[in-house]
Parts: sequence; C-alpha cells; structure tokens
Amino acid sequence: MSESDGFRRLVLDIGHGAADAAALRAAEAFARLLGVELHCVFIEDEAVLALAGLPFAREYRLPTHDWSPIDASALAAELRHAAVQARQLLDRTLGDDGVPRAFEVLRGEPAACLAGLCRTDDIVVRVGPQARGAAPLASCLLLPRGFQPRGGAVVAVMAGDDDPALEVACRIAAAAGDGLMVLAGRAVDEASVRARAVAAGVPVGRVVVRCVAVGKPADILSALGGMREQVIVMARPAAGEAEVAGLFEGRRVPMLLI
Amino acid sequence: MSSEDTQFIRAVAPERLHRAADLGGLAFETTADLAALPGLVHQQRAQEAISFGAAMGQRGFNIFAIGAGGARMQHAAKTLLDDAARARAYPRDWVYVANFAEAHRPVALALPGGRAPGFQKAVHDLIDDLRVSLPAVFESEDYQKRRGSIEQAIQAKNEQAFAALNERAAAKNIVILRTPMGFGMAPVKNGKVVPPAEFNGWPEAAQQETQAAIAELEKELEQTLRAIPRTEKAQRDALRALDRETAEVAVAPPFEHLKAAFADLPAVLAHIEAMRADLLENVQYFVSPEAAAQGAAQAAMRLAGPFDRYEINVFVTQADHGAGAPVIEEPHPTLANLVGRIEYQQVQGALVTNFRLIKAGALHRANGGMILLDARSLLSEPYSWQALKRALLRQEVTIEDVARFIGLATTVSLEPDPIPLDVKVVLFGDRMLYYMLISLDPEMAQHFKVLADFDDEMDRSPESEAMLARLIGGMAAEGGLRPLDRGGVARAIEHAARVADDAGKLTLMVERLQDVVAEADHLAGRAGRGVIGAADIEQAIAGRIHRGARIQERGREMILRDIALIETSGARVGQVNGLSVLSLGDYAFGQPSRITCQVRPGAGRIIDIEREVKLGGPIHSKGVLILSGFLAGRYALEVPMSLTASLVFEQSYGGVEGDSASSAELYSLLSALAEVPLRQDLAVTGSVNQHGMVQAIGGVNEKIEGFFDICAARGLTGTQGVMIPASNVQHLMLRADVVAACAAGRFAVYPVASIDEGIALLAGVPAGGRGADGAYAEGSVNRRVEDRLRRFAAARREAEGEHGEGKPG
Repeated sequence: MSESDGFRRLVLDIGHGAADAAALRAAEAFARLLGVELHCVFIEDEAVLALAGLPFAREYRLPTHDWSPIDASALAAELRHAAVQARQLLDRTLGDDGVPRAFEVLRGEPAACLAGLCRTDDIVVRVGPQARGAAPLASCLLLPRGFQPRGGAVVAVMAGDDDPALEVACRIAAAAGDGLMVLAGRAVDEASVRARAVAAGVPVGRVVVRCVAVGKPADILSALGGMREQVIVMARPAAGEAEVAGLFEGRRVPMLLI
Repeated sequence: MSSEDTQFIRAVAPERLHRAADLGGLAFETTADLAALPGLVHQQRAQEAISFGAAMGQRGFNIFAIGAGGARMQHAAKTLLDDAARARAYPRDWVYVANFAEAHRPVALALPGGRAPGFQKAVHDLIDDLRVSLPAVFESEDYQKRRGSIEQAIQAKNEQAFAALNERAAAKNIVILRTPMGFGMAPVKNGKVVPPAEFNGWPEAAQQETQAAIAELEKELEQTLRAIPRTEKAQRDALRALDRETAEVAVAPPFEHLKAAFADLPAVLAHIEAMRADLLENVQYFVSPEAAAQGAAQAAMRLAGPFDRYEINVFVTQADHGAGAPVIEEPHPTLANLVGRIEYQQVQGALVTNFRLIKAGALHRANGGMILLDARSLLSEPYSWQALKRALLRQEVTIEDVARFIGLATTVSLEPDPIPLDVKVVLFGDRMLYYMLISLDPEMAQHFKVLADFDDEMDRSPESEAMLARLIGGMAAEGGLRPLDRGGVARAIEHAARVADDAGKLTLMVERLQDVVAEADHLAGRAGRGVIGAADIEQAIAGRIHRGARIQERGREMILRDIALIETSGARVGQVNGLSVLSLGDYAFGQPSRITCQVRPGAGRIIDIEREVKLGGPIHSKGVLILSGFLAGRYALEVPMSLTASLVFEQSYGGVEGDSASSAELYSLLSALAEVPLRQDLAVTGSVNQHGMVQAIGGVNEKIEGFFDICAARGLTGTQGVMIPASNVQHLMLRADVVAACAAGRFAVYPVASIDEGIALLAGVPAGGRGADGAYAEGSVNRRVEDRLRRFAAARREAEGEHGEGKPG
C-alpha cells in the first residue's frame, strides 16, 4: 500500500477469455466500492506472435477443432481484432454508469507486462484459480469464475492490530452499507478494532469481532461457518496465493489480498 | 230512387260504420290501476309451439317464430324462454389453455358452471407465487453450493486436464500458448519462450526432439480440447438435472394444492400436470433474468410474457348469471359474433395471436341454453347462416376466420379445439322469409322443426278489449309514459281495430299502438296533462296521417282542380268511379279512379287496356277475365259473344293490381252495353265472380274515406256514397266525420251482395230477372244488355257475310 493509504485502480486482464462479462461486472462493483478506477488491459502475447516464426508451429483452432498453419500477418490481425472485441465487451457490459475506467493494449510477455504496469497501489484482478499474471508488488483480488456480485458481510482477517485488512474492509463495508465481520487473531485488541471500524463509517451495530485462530485457511473456513459474505479481505500470504487456494475454492467468494 | 232491386239495399246504419270500444266490464280510472299483462297475449298457438320447442330435447327441434313486423315476438317469446331456461341444467364453463405440445392448437377444457374464474385465479396465483418462490429457491445457499460444486467439479476437471497437460509440456520444455482463435505450442528455456531465431540455431537433433515432443503434445492437446464439449455437456446435464430436482421440490406443494382444488376434474388435472411438466422444462424463465428477458422478447412476438403460457383464458363462464341456462339474444349475428373469433395484433409488421386472444361468440355464451336471432339479420350477414347450420349439424362450434374464407392469409393462426354445442336456436322472421327458406333450403326443415306462428290479430270482444287495455297500460308504464284514461284506452282500442282493418278484430302488432301512445303522451305533456285522453290519441293518429298525407293531398288537389277527372254528381254511360288504395311505406289511403268502357261488335274479347300496356298485374287481369266468364255465362248461352269491349282506368299511368275494382269494371261494361247511365255520386269497390256475386276486398275504410274526402271538399250533396261488398260491412271502422255525415244523411255506405243489386242502385233501373219465357224483363238492364249483344251478333254476322271470313273486331 502506498503511503496515502489508498488504492489507485483495479487492473484486469480481459484478453483471451481471461475475464468474461461476469468478471467485468464483479470487478466494476469492487472498483465502485473502493472508489478506484477500473483499468482493463489486453496483452498481445509476443510469444504468440513469434509462433509464426517456428517452422513446425501450427494452431489448433476452435470451435472447428482443426489444425491450421500459422500465418504471421493473420495472427497479428486476429490479435488486433481480439483487442477490439475485448474493448467492445467492456463497453457493452459496463455501459456508462460512473465508474472511471480505462482500456489499454500492451504487447509483451503477459506476466511481465502486468508486473511492469502495476504499482503497489494497484489491485490486480485474477479470475479463477489458474489465472495468469502475478504482480509481486500489487495487491490481488481473486474472483471466482462466474461470480455474481452479492450482498453480505465484509470479512476482515486480522493477524495483528496493524493488519491493513481492517481499513480496507471497513471502507468496503461502509460503501456497500453492509456489516463487518472481523476474524481477529489473539493478538488483536477487540475494542480498538470496533472503534476503528466505527470511525471508518461502519454502523456500530453492524460490527462483529470474533477472536479466532487465523493462522491457517482451515481455521478461517471453520470460523466463517455458514455465513454469507461478499468478500474476504486479508493480508497477502507470504507464501503466495497458493496458500489461500483452499480457502478461495472452499468459499467461492472474492478474496482481496493486500 | 227506388227499384225492386234496390228496395232491399239500405245504407249501412251509422252504428255499424264504427264499432266503439266496450270497456264497461273493466273498472279503472287510468291504466295505472290495471295490472300489466306479462309475456304473450292471445298467442296460444305460438305459445304452445315455443313451450314445446323449448322442452324438446331431440336434435332439430329448433324454433322458427313468424309473424308480422311489430308483433314484438322476440320480446314476448323471451319471457316464455326464460322460464324454460330456468328449468334447464346449469351449463358448463369453458376455458382455453395452452397446448404445450402443439402451440397452435389451444385446448378447450370444460368445468362445472361457475368454476372457471376460480380455476383462472388459482393458476394465476400459483404462477405469481412461483415467480417469487422459485428464484428464492435458486438463490438459496444449498442450491448455490450444489450448483457451484457441479460447476467447480467440471471446471476442475478441465483445469486439471489442462494443468496436467501443461505439466507434461513443461517437463519437455514446451509451453502451451493461447492464440486468439485457439492454442499453439512453443519451446521454452529457463521459463521463457525460445524465439524462432534462437530455435533455428539449435542443433538439428534438438530441433527434431522438440518437434517430436510438440507433435505428441499436440495430440494430447487435441484430445483434451475435444473432451471439453463433452464435459461441458455433462455439466449442463448435471445442472439441468439439479435445476429440475430443485424446481420439482419447490413446485410440488403449490401444484398439489392446486390439484386438490380440482381433484374432481380429470381433464383439468391432466392440464395441471402438463403445466407442471412444462414449467419444469422452462424453469429458467423463473430463475434467470437473462432467460426471462429473452423469453419475454420471444413471447412478445406472441403477445404474451413467458409466464402467460400458463394463464387460463376463461372463454365462457356461468359465474355471472343466476340459476338455469342462459338465454342469449344476438342482435348483430355476424360470423364472428356468432361463432367467436381469434383476435390478432400487429407486432413488427406481422399479425400474431395466442390462445388468450380467442373470444367467445353468442353460440358459446348460449351453449346449454337458448339463443335468439333475427332471421333477416342472420341471412344478411355473410357466412353466418351456413355457419349456424354447420354448428347444429356437427353439434359443435368451430371458430371460423372470415379472412381464411376470402383468401386473406394471416401470419400466425390458431386451430382451437371446437366446443361441443347443445343449444336451442330460436329464429324470428316474417312469414314470407320463412316460407321461402322452407321451400328453397333443404336443411331448414332439418334444423327448424318447430313453427311458432304469431297471430297478427285477435277476435274482438269485451274480454279481449280488456286484455288489450292492460297490454296498453303495461306498455305505457314500461315506456315511462303517462297513464291513459278510459277515453284514451277506448280510442286506442278502436285504433287497434282500424289497424286490423276489421271491426271484429284487434291488432296484436303492438308496436304500432305503442308508437301512437308515445305520440299521445308527448301531446299530453305539451298540454300539461297528467294522463293521456282520447283527444290525445286522436291527435296522435291525425298527426301521423298528416305527416304521411302529402301525396294523398296532392292527388286530391288534382281531382278538385279537375286535372284528374272525377265526377261526384250526375250520371254517365259506361263510366263509374272505382276506388283503389295506394300504400306508401306505412301509410295507405284511398282515392277514386274513373273506369270507363267502350263496346262494339267483335269476337267476344274484353280488352283490358291496363294489361295490354303491361300496367296491369296478373290478379287485375284475372278479374277482367272473370268478367268475360260472367258475360258469357249470363248472356251468351245460346249465341256466341259478339262483343269487343275495352276497359281502362282513366288517367292512370302507374301499375294496377288486384281485383277489387272488377265489380266497378263490370258495372261500366253493363252500362255501356245497356246504354244506361251510371250515377257518378257513388263510388264502387268490390270484386266479382263469374256468377255475379260481389266479393270482399281489402282497405274498405280507406276507400270510403278517400271518396268521402273528395265529396266533402266539393260539398256533400246528400246523395253521395260508396258501394261496398256486403261481406265488408264487418270491417268498417270509419272516421268520426264520415260516421257523422252518414248519421246526418249526407253520405251513405251501401252493402252490395250481387251485381244485380249494384247495377240497380247505380243505374236506377232494375237489373231484371228471367221470366218464364227465359227473357229478361223488358226495360231491365239485363234485357238491354242482352238485346245489345244480339244486335252485335247480327251486325257481326252481316259483316262476315259481306266479307267472307270475318276479321276479329
């Protein structure tokens, strides 16, 4: 997070089916809640363009399910057309409803492009558990494939008093008008958490703090139980998203890892 | 004058010229004191026929009621039919519902009478409930988890397959790349794709090893990708099964509740089950906003939302009327109004429809009961008569689209189930129409076996006058008119006799009486009276006459100005005042016509000049031919007729029909032959037969009044009058001024039974009878005629002798 304690934008790769209309709507919803711009990118993979230079390379085309030789110019044209279609999908899906957005076409290696594009105050949106692109410095919003935005409590997982998840979760809860559920580790001052939540704009009656073990995803899953939440906000695990994959697949709700 | 023939012909006594009403036996001040007469009055025959037809359950015993216009048949019969309908079983309700298997063939369902609206509401409420409850079920935690689990499992399977492929590829330093249109493969080194230039610099063996690895991986990629549609289908099937299972659980209770309400109706239960099955197939409309929007767009082409397919079209229901069967009157029996119609609306240039736009016709509404139709209106509407007969023959009503009959194609059409028909049809029409139909349409007798013949008039008696008084009082009350006092009632009854054209009858064409009473009410109101009196009735009658009398007055004026030559005094040979009636619309009046005759020797032919120029109708011609028979029978038994006579209605330039002037023609012929002048102060009406008997005619009152008006305008001389058939005396209902003039001896009406009586009165000379020698009395009219004919015969023989074969005269 930047020193201003805010986020700048959500960055979403919408190329090659990485994100569909549902993902766009979900990303837009979070952009609105966080008060940030939605920045969509289409990355023209250089490696794909280079395929044409390989003498043996061929393309397995869908939906015809047949192999075709690769023509460089045709491939480039198809990439450009895919970019146009991605832009059209964006415009068609989101319309003009007030969330600032931008669209950019990049060329290069996708992960490197994203890493190069994103700053520490950006949130990279990744759809599905196998989504490509890791931006080491940026926060990450994991979206389940086909997720429809819904109401419910905003869950903040706090390992300690200075866990940044609380502020972000409070901002989302206040913007959404929903409640805040804080799963706080034993080191967290419950009263302080409540006060900070109320100060951030969450109604006092809608703040729930539960002191539970939060060290492992299984603990968090157990703590959440049958609750219906709209997002889980937690600090990015040191070991990476893989560590929270089980939690993500188990709850099938967006997870904001900051 | 006096003669042995006229001594017994006395003028009709004044009291017989107009029969006054006799209400002495009925105590009342005004008609407000009288109880109205409901239903049919003095229509025993028709009443029995209607009651019989209404009770008859066999096919074909529909009723055709005939009578003159103005008899209020329909109004009167409806009371009888309402009574009969009350005793009939309560008919069924009918609804149309969607046919889920064949959308263009809506299904007709019968329910017990009055239950269709309840069925409609129950289904509507069920769908409304499901529109709320089904989405909630599909948004539930359990469903979402199970759905997510299925989707995840399939996705995971695909992703695992891809991940495994990627791993195998990575193990061989190959990467699978996503292209805009599919997938490709490229070699990697240290996690990065090897640029083509670098790869081309590899040793041949390394290149081939890479190519071989890629070739093998391409096969696996292809297998993996080809498996995806199968897994996706498996996902769709699994989701569909989940949706169906979820929906089945959700819809079961409301559907069971609905079924319980109609457990006694197997056809309805079957439809409910079909509805449930269709709903489960199309549950996405309830669950998914996108699917609902798409379904709505498609359904808009059928003018219905996606859920409207489950609604019920209440086609006919008995819920709104009381006990018994319906009695429906259809005043405008077009095909659509009779057998129902399918409505269409335009959507994007196409005409579209659905089962909810099927509308019932009068036959549907009358099903199980009775339908009343005007025959002339029915026959005037294209296809209606045929459609009615078809429906009666097949015992079902099929909604038929006129557009298809006349070749107009519609883009979307329906073939709704026909509805079984059990209805009693009652047609109302005039007699001519009925007899034409029965003789020309063979199906008429098949379907309308009961004739209800309404009398136009009833015998006049104190009892029937009292009945008519109550009827008139009831009409006045029903029409919101003032009551009539005794004088008004009496005058109205006398008018009823005049309308019947018979002092011994009263008309049953009550609409004509109603019109007069309504006018009299207006006049009474204008004069500030609270009851209608005789003067108001009289004034109303006079007003109606005045409004229609323009042509009559012009004709009278022409006579008075001697433009049309009619004498009302003196005597002429071969000339007599005949009388005719002119009918213009609903107004008739009499006027005199001069009839003249010329005679000469000839071949025995009486020339009817009207017939020669085709102005004479067949009945008129028959009357003239009868004269020939009379002459021959009386005067030519021993010698052939050697006469040529020509008869004409002078100054008549229009058609002449009827034989009511045949006695006048005979008088003029006899006068011409006998060379005796006939009185011009008398007018003559009456037909004659070959034996010289004077027979009754119609319009006797108008004829007398027509001649009276001419004489009165010129000044009554005291000798003027009209000769009428004796058998018409019973029909006399003359105006008060005519009666007064006759009572004062200034005008007279003479009843004549035979030509001999009449000629004696007209000529002032006895007709004469045959003596023992067979000859007529000397100086009598008959003698003079016979002598003249003999002279004609001699002259003819002489002429033929001079010229050989004589030419006809």
